[in-house]
Amino acid sequence: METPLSGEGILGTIDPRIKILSFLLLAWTVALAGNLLQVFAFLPLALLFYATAYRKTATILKILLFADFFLLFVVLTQLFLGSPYQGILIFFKSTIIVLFSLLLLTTSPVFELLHALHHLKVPNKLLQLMFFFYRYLFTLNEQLNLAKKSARSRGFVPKTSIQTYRTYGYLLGNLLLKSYFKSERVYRALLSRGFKGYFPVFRHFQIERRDIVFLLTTLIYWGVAVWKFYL
Amino acid sequence: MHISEGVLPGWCLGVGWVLTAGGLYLGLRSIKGEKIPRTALLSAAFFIASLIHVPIGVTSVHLLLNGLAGALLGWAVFPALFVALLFQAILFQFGGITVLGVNTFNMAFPGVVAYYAVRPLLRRGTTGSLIAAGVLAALIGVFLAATFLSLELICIGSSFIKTAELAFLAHIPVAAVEAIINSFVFLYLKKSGIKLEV
Repeated sequence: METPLSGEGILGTIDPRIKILSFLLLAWTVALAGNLLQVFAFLPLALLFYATAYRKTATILKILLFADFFLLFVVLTQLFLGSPYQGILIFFKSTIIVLFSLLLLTTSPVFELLHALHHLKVPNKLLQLMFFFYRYLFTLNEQLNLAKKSARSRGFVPKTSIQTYRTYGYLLGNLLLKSYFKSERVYRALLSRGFKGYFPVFRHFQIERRDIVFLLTTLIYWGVAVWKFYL
Repeated sequence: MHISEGVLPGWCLGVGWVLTAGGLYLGLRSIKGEKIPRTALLSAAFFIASLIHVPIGVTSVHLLLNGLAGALLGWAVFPALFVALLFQAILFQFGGITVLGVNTFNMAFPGVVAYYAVRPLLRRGTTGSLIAAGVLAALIGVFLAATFLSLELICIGSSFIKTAELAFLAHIPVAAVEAIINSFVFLYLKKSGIKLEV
């Protein structure tokens, strides 16, 4: 599990701090849009970003079409049971914000995003939670897959029965116990290595010319769009 | 269910972030030292567990597990679910960043309520009270979350009343399945003879 477009295209090389800030600005502006015109003002920028990662079109389309059942549910109920205009407005708002999120956030690997959040003054404790979460996500997933495999090899077939729910309950309980004990070992390992709450990083961020060009382009586009369509 | 990007009006997103910030402050204050990796790993375990498809009838559901997480984590459920939802947004684009505040509050606050409701039952520790704790945690967690979700949808406008009703109804099977599974989780933890003091 890595971000879906990690390192893709020119956006993959931009400083993640700048990408996160640009994303927040653009996403909040689109989220606050009240009509279709204001939303469409940002469509060209979203498409321009998409053009830099056109090789991953299949991945992007798959995420836009299938990732979001809630959006599908809201849009369909609005089209048939509520106000169709709201349905269409929400569909485009959501799609454009997700495009920004895909191309600005997920073009950096997770560790770089977390490193950038540290520079953006996110509280250290929260960042530690994120680091440990991401570090052990795979380990725990592996554990659960092994447990599921061993249940299957004993003839377990999931169906609607109390037996199935008991098996899942026990699997989950077991997973919780394992993560609990693992966390104790992790903590002792950290203590013995003198962990003070900060991870040393190998690669530091450096603002380069293309980062500034990117930031200025985004800001100018945003300024013009807000001036023309929002004010 | 997580609310997607672009659905809610701006003031609703703002209120969600303010409430979540308060919860995060209280939650982060309650975890230090060994509780930091513990919260993170339990959060990862809940994240993985909520991806399991649990069959019910002809279809299958994902569990929310916010009641169970709340019962085990207390106020730390706020940072735990915040991190889990953030990663869902980054890795799979479920939910999103601007709605992260609202989604965290929808899930975590019922968890905190479940914590206070379930603690006495867990402390008693008989089979009956553990089953009651599992059922109670699921009902509080799922239905309170569904109520918040429906109210927020109604906030958008009157055309969303039908959407909100359907969203609430969709949570009923989840609550039923989760009540059973939660009870078995508590029974399993009791059987293994370990007190999960988080």
